[in-house]
Amino acid sequence: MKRKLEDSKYTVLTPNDLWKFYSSVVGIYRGGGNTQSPKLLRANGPRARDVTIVYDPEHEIDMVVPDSSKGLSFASNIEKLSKNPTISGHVWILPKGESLPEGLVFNVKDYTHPLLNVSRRMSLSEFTEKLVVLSSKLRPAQIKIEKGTGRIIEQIPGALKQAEAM
Amino acid sequence: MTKRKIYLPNALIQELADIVKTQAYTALMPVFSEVSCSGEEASSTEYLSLDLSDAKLLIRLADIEMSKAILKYPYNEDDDPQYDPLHEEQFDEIMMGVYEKTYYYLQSEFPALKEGA
Repeated sequence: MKRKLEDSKYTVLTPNDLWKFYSSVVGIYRGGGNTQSPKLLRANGPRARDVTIVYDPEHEIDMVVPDSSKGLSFASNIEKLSKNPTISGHVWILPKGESLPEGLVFNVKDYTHPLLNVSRRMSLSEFTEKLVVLSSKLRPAQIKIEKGTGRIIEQIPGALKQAEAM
Repeated sequence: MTKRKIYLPNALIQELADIVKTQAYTALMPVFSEVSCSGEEASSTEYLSLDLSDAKLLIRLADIEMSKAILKYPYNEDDDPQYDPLHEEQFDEIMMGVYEKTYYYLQSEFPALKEGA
């Protein structure tokens, strides 16, 4: 199956769709990480601005609701992270073939910039758990984007070539 | 240039409007003239009326916020001997917030911005 992006619309990629859609890449990248983590979460949980969170008065908890126009930013190539805008820090990769936890999807309007979000309403704590699981599937690409300049720095010789052929 | 209604998340619009107001960025005042920053309307505004030159000014604003973050939170990297977790948190709030998101939503609608604002 090959899905095509429609102009000005978001395409929602389920865990089953993800690698069929991104069939020609070695993985999708997350910028802005550090040496220990891709930082999908802050210390106190997901960033509220990444997703839509509503309060459920019945259960008195915060819920994350599907919103195809939002999500945590990923990139289909490393260069995308290096300029316009420069997302500095360590680059992590979700290698092609790794499964997305159930309940997560990627929303795509720009092929190079998939947005991670939820496919169904879930509690903020469940979303947090899923991000922790997903974080464990990402691998350090051994590449760092330099703050301010966007220069791509290999942490080990040949890292860029290796990350793009992983 | 013709203005178009461009979607941005409400929280981002509110943040941009707040920066424009507090920094007195006159060039961007007209963009936010109809954006309510308080009351019920504040939580529902999800579109700005923009043309390419407006979008370029907003990208400039995002770049300024990022430059300020680089100057204010220099010890944001955990492989820096002077690493400070608070710097990292504050830096990330800007980089993954107003900076990255302003670029994303505007580049989605104005492809010319991908070549540099």
